Amino acid sequence: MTQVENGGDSWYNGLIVQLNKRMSKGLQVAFSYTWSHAIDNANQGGGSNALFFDSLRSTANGSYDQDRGTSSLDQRHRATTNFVWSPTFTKSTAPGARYLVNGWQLSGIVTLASAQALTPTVRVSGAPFSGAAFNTTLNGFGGTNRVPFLPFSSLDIDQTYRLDARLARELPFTETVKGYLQFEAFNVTNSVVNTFRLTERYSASGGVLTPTANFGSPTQSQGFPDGTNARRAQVSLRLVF
Amino acid sequence: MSYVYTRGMRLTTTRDMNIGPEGPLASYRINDASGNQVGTYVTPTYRLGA
Repeated sequence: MTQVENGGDSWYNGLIVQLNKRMSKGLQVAFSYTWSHAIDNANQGGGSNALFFDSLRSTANGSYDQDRGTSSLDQRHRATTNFVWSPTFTKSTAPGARYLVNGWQLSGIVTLASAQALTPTVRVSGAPFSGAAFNTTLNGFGGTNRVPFLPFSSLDIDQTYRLDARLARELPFTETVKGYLQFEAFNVTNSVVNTFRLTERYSASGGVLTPTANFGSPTQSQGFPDGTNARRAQVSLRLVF
Repeated sequence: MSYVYTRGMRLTTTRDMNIGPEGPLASYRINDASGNQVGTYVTPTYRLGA
C-alpha cells in the first residue's frame, strides 16, 4: 500500500535581465537573460503532474533529504535577442523606390541556452541481494532507479544555439491594402539539439556495477510541431486591409 | 532587472506503508569499462519479512 503524503520541498531562484532598444532609425532590439536554479527533494516530482496515482519515487522510504538535487526542468542559463530592422534606403516616392528599394524588413530571434539535464540510472538484473523486498533498485526499496551516489541532473542533454529569421517585403497594393511577402527560416544554422539521451550509467548484477557502454548517447531531437528541431523554411503572403 | 525566489512546501511524495525499516548493509563493487574495480558503494537495504 502506497501513501501519498506531503514531504517534498522546492526552491527556485531566478535573475532576469532585460534590455530594450526602442525602434529608431529603423532598428529595434530586445535582449533578455535569465539565470535560474530549480532544486527539490521530491525526487524531481516537479517534472510530473501525477498526484494521487503515483508510484514510489524516493531512494529510501519516507526519507526525502537524501533526494535533494537539481530539478528535472532546471535550465541554468538562457539568453534571447530579437531584432527588427526596417531600413529606409531612399526618401524618394518614385515607384521604383516604393516597390523595390524600400519596404524590406529583416527580423530574427537568437536563442542561446545551457543544457537541461537527465539523471543517470542503474539497471538491476535479477535480485540485487538475497531477500530483497524489490528487485529494481540497489537497496531493494523499489523506488527511483537513479544511481544513488551520483548527483541528480548530472547528464547534460544539449546546449541550444538557434537563430530564427524572417525576410519580409512590403507590397503596397493600394492606400488601404498591403501585402507582405515573407520568407522565414527556423533554426537557420541547422544546429540540431538533442532532447534525450540514454540515462543508464550502470548495470548491476551479482554485486557488481558495470558501466553501460552507450551511456549518454543521444536518442532523439524532437521539436514542436514538426517532430524535429532541424532547419525548416517557409514562404508566405500576408494581406493587411 | 528582477529577481524571483519561489519556495514550494508540502509537495506530494509517496511512502510504502508495508515495507519494513532499513536493514543490513549491501556492498557493491564499482567497475570501470575494463573490469577494474574503481570504487565501492554500500547501502542499507530493504528485505522481505523485515
